[in-house]
Amino acid sequence: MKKRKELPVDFRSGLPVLELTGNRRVTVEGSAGILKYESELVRLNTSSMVISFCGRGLTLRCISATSVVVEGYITNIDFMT
Amino acid sequence: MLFVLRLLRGFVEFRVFGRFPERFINLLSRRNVVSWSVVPEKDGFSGRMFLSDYKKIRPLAKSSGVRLRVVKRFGLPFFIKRYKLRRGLCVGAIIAIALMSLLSMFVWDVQLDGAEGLSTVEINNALKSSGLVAGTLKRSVRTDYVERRLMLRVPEIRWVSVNLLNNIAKIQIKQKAKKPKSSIAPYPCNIKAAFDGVITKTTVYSGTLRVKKGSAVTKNQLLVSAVTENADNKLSYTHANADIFADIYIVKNIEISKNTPIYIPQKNYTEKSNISFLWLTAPFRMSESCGGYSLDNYYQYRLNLNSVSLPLGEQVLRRHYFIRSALGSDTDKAENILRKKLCLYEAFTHSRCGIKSKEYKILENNKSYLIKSSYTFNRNIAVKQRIHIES
Repeated sequence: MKKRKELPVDFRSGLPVLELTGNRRVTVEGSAGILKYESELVRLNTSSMVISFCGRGLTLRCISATSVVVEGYITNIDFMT
Repeated sequence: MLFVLRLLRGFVEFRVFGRFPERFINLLSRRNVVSWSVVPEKDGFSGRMFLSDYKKIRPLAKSSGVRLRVVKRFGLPFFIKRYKLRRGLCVGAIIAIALMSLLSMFVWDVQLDGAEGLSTVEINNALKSSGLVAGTLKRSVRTDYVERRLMLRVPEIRWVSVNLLNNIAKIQIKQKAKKPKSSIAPYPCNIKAAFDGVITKTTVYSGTLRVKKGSAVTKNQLLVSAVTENADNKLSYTHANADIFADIYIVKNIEISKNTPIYIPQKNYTEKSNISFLWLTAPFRMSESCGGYSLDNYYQYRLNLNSVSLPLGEQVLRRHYFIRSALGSDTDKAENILRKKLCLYEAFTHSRCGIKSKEYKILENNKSYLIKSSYTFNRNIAVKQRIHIES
């Protein structure tokens, strides 16, 4: 019980983890699928929300079952809960 | 590195187009199918994936309502497939690679640098005794040992370096500086005449000249004295040194018997050769010996490629044949032999002399031929003779 309290908020709540490198790369852990994939818009589904990345020249650098790496010039990030 | 690994496994560049390309990506990720360079395009996207994975994704494409097209193929599996029928090419390439790696393990040639004036035979023998010859395994060469051994065996070497550059052993040699001749005269000596003659030129470096230009001198006559008189009328002894040139008259007779054996060269010759490869030799050409008198010449040829001596060559033994016969009454041959003997006499006995005149005539009797020659040489007749001073 004590250990569970020490865990970060995102792991406890099942929220996706976003790691941004400037506005050029974002790693999303906890992805449940890709909803939209265009060079100006990438929309990802997670268990609790839909995340949209707007920008220019967006590409999926790496895709696995639970995480996605998006690269490009990101101008806007939207969260739809 | 990653690219090389991908090339080894083989991968394809594909294009996906249809109604739900995103659904197709999701299916790929759920099935743990690795894809990279996924770039969105009109009505779909393009990407790359391993050949083995590409073979499995057809049902996924069908279920997600997209169509797949292979744009480009990369990697070893496609290369092998393309040259599957040309097995000889692959076998040849494998043999060539194996041969190259095998040959690169050996020393192909030993090159000497800076050995001018030294005996290459002596150096090569020293190298051989220390285990460095063409065909030696490179890893068995101990360069420091070879260097030490070479310096011990050839005392004229001051410094040596053995470098194994690719398959060539380069021996860099620095020779010892030669000891200069001492200019200090160690003992008093006179200069006397070595021959009878007439003086033509005198050059005295030390001592007192006792003859004049144009004077006739006999053998052992004093030419330059070691005794010199200084300004105080005191005598001193020096090491006399001078060049005294004189015209000398010499008569030389050479006789050869009519029974002297002569060897007449024949036009035919036989050759035997061995093919040498590294340290191995194998007979290549053989011929039957004709018997009789013969002279062997030995040649060695090495195959060169871009001034690099390859470890492949031919060793040829060429045998020339002669017929032995007696000189007999063949005057022309006798004259020829006598003239050659006379030339040898000039070359070896009076090598540094100018020949002012030369006359000869050939005489024949029952048993032999005789050449009577008379020379007038111009040569340095000075010869040093030590003098002993009793104190």
